[in-house]
Amino acid sequence: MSQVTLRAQAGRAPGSRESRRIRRDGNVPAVVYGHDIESRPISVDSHDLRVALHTEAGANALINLEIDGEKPVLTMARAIDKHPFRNEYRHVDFVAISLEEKLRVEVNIHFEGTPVGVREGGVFSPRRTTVEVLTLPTTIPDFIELDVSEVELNESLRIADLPDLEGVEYTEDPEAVVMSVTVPAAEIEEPEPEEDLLLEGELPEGEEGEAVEGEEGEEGAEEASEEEAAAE
Amino acid sequence: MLMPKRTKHRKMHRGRMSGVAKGGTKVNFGEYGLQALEPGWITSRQIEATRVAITRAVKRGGKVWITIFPDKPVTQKPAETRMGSGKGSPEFWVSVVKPGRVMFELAGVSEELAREALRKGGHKLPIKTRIVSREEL
Repeated sequence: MSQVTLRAQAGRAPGSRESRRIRRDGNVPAVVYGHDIESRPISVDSHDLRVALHTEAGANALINLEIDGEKPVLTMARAIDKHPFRNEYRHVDFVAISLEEKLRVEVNIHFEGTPVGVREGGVFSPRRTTVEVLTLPTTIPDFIELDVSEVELNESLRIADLPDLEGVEYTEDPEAVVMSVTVPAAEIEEPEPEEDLLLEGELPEGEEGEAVEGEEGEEGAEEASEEEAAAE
Repeated sequence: MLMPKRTKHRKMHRGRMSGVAKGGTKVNFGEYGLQALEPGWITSRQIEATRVAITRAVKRGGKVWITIFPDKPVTQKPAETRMGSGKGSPEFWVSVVKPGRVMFELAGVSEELAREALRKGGHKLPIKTRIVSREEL
């Protein structure tokens, strides 16, 4: 796995006001901690960070962090905090790692091919798109390719069916389902014209109306007691 | 249409919709999602209309998830009524949506079809939306 170099500035003051100022200047507040180093608040350029996190390895990229021109620290980005809808990073944790120690990382699963069941009218349902693996930093796969072309209707593939990769160990339950091909739910549903009627119809009265009466009485009693208290 | 089975209280205050979504901002179940860019009340009818639009656009091929639920009752006074004499009666249910919230998710179809389906679904909603993919978020 290739390594990316990222420059960082140390010595940022803590606090939300300072963090906002850093973000306004086009940087991202971050923190570095982990293997044999002390926790330090830092800031990185947002564009450089985006480039570092958009390699083939994605969030699992090995990042050489150069803090104020010091000796680079090998890190991985963790707890990447993004703005809910703007394409901005708000904060990143960099965890220092050792090349000799195994890590638990989430790796993306890429589904290859069109399942037989889908060609027969089934629906492709991915249950999960990542899998946790235990591996050395140098052998973290960019993604795990899973051939799904042989999967028939009402069949599924599990973690045990993922390909064996050298130096990579799957840590999750081997029986956990990764993907399945199911019968389309719409075939079981009522026909479309009824749905249209429902859309235009009135709100159905259900059990809620019944539940409501009792509550109303209680609320009314409470209000009355409050009014009495206020009068006094 | 979606609505709670039973509630603790019949009526609710209107509340405020300031700020951004603090959860549900990522695509968790499907591959593509419809994300809110504005705050708003999404009624159960709008949710249903969106679901139908998406399902029809994918020709019942993919799988659709609705990740919001209308759990807030909205009351209205009858037309031509004098003011006073208490709060009106519950008329419909809404889901309070803040910017960033992923409301619908879709999987099992091509990217082109998913974007087209979510675009059509987005037109049924009273707020600005955008289509996001799992990789983007």
